[in-house]
Amino acid sequence: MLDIQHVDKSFGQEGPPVLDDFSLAVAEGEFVSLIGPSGCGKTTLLRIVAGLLTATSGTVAVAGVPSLGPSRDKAVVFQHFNLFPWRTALANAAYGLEIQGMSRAEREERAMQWLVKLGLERYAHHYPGEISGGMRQRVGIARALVIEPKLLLMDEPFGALDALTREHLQGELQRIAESTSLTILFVTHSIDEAVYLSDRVIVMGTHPGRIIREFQVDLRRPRYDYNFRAEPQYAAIRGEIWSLLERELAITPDEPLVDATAGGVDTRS
Amino acid sequence: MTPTPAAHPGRSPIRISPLHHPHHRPRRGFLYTGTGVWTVRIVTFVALIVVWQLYASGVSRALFAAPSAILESIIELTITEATLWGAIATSMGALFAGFGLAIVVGVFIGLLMGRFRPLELVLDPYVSFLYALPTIALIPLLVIWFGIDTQLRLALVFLAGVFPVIINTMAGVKNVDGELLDVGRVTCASERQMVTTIVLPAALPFIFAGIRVALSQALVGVIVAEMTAIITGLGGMIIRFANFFQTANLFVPILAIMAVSVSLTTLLKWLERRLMPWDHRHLEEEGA
Ligand SMILES: Nc1ncnc2c1ncn2[C@@H]1O[C@H](COP(=O)(O)OP(=O)(O)O)[C@@H](O)[C@H]1O
Ligand SMILES: [Mg+2]
Repeated sequence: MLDIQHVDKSFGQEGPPVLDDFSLAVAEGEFVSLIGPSGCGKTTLLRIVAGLLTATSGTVAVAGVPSLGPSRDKAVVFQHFNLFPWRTALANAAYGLEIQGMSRAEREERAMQWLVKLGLERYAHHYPGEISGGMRQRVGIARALVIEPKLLLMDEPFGALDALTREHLQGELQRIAESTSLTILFVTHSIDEAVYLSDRVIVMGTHPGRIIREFQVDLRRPRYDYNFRAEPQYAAIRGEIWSLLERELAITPDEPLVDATAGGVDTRS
Repeated sequence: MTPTPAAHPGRSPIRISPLHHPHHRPRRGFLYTGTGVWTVRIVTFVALIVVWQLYASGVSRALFAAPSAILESIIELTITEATLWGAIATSMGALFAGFGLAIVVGVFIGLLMGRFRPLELVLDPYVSFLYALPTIALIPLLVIWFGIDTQLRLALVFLAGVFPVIINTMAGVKNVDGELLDVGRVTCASERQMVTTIVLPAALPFIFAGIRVALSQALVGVIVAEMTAIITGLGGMIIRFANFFQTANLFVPILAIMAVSVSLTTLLKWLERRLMPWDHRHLEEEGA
């Protein structure tokens, strides 16, 4: 579904390499998380895949087609929600369809369906400034999904939320992922979140950004139905990722990584 | 289960009510109640008028008009002779035409300058210098170019209004959050769609700030042009009354200009609130 081949990226002529020979293939319907220390190039990679940045070299293909810029089969959920403050929740959610030229009645009906699915029907006519962070990100998710993308790119989507809201939205995202054939590339700072949500966790190292290891997570799905944290596999993977990242952080100890066993709070803004 | 919003009573939408605004702590005493404030205002106003009337009765009518004389003038100019309305219409006609044009052209140029760096680099010096120049300094030049005609006022109002609009629009356009532009880009919005769905709404508060500045500049432009070049409208009225030392009459166009200015500012605020219902600063301003 998504094929990233030998992507290198540096900013400017003489900039240091931010990504070095990054290759990753994601199958249709697969949920893959990227985890790594701050500044290792996760956002940069996601922006390249989204078509917001061009790679210095290497290729990205979606569904076998080279991806050279933004396209309708990809959608992005942003860390800071990036809702339009002048649009209501409904008009925000309908944005992609409006850009495609769909009639108002039809696009609002479709957007409303997503808002209902995400439990937001009562807030459809509220402005983003009037709803909580968790609700805003639900609108952000609705806005991404309403265009029915094949590939969903999420950059620390729950990083700015409190622990409880975060756990709610993780459950909802899992439900959505299961009910569709959506392929998801998910950037996170939380080991717990990565293991909870993913089929595969990619651990990245820094300077330059590269893959250091990947883990297959075979925990039974759906995972919100039982205490997956009690499973031996959970503890094993979490421990291994933790020690890998600790080693990376020992090299570049610029920012503490969050070990969010209990859905810990990410203190980053 | 999908948590319904009802499960978070503490997270219901927050509207900042003026009464609960942190800067609006209730204070004790009659003076600070709504009725109290108005009582004080009315009492001081009446006192002022009475003192003024008493003082004015002792001096020459040409030097100092008594409130009673001003009232007579108001009645004369608005009802008996009713020449004020024509003057207001003349001044407002020029103001609206020139000001409307200034907004349309100013937003358009500001938008282009904010979106295309080369254009900004070329035009910025001209815009900055003309913005810095008090437009009324151009009146003699405009008289030479346009003659003593309505076009002169139109040109003056336009020049007074267009630069604040350009500068503020450009600032607003350049200030648009890049992350919001990213949303448009990943959604494959065309340049036209980027501008209409993101850039303009995001720049709207800046554009309105420009329009507010432009309005006061344009008003100055109209009145000064009418006082100095084409003696007509409200400005012309002021000059004519002043030349004949009709001091009581003189107050009428001055009060009219004040009323017009306040009405236009209020209209603009109302429009702003209508066009930007998401902007919570308005809610806070109400409490301030
Ligand atoms: N536009 C840019 N110009 C120059 N350097 C950048 C730019 N964007 C990101 N970088 C650099 O690239 C590196 C990776 O950044 P980023 O992808 O945001 O990391 P992450 O998302 O993993 O925290 C950082 O060192 C950052 O300083
Ligand atoms: Mg990042």
